[in-house]
Amino acid sequence: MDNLPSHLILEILSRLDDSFSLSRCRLASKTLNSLADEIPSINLQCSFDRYIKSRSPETRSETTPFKTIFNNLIKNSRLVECVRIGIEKPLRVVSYDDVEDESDDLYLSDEKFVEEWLPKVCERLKSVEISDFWIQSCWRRTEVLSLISSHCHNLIELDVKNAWLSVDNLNPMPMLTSLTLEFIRLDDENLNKVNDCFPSLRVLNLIGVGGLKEPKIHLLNLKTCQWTVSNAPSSLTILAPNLFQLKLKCVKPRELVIEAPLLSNLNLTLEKASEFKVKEFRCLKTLRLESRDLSNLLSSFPFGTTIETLIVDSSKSTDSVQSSHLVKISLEDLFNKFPNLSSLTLGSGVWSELQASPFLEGLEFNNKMKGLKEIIAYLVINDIETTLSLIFHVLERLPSLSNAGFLVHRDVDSSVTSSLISRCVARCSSVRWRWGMWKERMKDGWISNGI
Amino acid sequence: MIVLQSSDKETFEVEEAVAMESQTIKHMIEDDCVDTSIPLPNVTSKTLAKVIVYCKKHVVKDKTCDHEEELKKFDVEFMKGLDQDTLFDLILAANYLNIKSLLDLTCQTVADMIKDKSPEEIRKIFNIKNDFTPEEEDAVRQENAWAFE
Repeated sequence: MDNLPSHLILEILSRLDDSFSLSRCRLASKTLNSLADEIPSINLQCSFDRYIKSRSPETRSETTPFKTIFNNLIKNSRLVECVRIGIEKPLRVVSYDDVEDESDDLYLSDEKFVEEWLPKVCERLKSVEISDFWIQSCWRRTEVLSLISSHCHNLIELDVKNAWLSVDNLNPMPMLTSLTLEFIRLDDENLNKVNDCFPSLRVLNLIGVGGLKEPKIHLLNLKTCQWTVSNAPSSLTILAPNLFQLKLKCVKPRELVIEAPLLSNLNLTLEKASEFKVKEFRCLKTLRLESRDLSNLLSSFPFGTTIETLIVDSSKSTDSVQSSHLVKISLEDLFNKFPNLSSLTLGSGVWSELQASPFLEGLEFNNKMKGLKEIIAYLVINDIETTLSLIFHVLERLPSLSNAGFLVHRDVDSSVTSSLISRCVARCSSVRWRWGMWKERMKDGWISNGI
Repeated sequence: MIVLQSSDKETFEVEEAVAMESQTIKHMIEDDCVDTSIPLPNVTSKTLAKVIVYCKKHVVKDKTCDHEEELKKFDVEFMKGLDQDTLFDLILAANYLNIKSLLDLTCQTVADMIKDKSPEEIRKIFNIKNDFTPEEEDAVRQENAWAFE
């Protein structure tokens, strides 16, 4: 193993992805030291330990300031193409109540700091990620975007987190194809500057971006978009003629407009939109819908004949009075709206709604879903007989079903689960059964693959 | 079926699809320079056997969600039992046979091993000697002192 050729050692070192570890490698041998110079990326993350050490009177003097370390790394890596600087997770969740911090040693999006290192490496720079320290950055507005736009003519990917960004003096960046802004206060109310200065974007992620009033995404080359809005701007508009994949999570915009005729994959979580304007989705294949008022959302959704994979869920309302006014979803609604499904997933909220409705009386079996091959459901079991009735009812309506996956809540008694499983398998042996467990805020676990 | 011959002259019969996970073998087959068996003088039988196990698992074209999960679990188990020598032999084999996913997996495993380790521990893993003079070592240590704080 001492015979590993240099290029393979380089393959290993480039996967280290952490400048602290890479620096320790430098001390192992001359070969590793010189190979480390060839790694085209820097990734420096400040740990919680380092933060504490830099502030405690005993260790303060022996702890090199974070920004100094970074500047030294840049000095020795003129060939760098990818730069990541940020704050490690435990430090990100430090709140105002725990810490009083007026200093700026970790104010990483500060344009004065970025100006120290960016010009040295901007020519080759393809990707930049700055994950700032909210406590020091949230009350300081930075012009770092303008700085990056005037220096980095070859930048392809930009990712900024936890900062207050100004868009003044922003220059066009026609090479940029991917932009991620996470937990940002952006002083570009309607996203005009973003649309103007980043026309070639193919990937746009706006997650928890505040400061927006009537934001409109208007990007001709956009293919993938993720947009999470927690407050209630007046309107949300997306005009993207080439958009392929969209994940949109919002609360209650007064108006929601989506014009994306080539959209193939849509994941939409919406509490309620007073005006939902969507043009026909001619190419939509995969659709995930989640809403407190699913029935209403479905009625304003354009016809879904192209959809093959459907996932639906209704989120629980904390206000039970409000939810009793809402029209409950029915299988009829789903089958009528999406006649060409091959896969259907029913979330726990939808399952509860279906169980609560009187589906057993006067059943019409005319409307069978012939193309539906797979069903997945997140079961809510209050009374096993009701659950079984619904499962059997669903099976009757799906003559071509080949795969059935049911997830039982983790808190359900195992004897109930066993009984459920054996009765289902006995009822229908032609189907490939899969069983799993689900719980809120936990990852799903599939128990077995076919019986 | 394709026959592969290791450096120590052992033969392994595998399905063509499995063998084609290796870009090197794939090109040999496509360029029609394959006789009765393909000689692989740079790979021992011990290593080749392991490579074949990996390729067999990764050749399935069925890209369902569970399959991705299953593959991840397999990869973890596959890397678990390996001693250092075998691991490095696999890296060399993956490189020679041009199997990108195996190269990614093995190199990432070694990278994970050296993360957060001291220079001495890193030397042990790579089985390399400290070839710095005391002055050189001092200079490098000074420059990177912050990594040891």
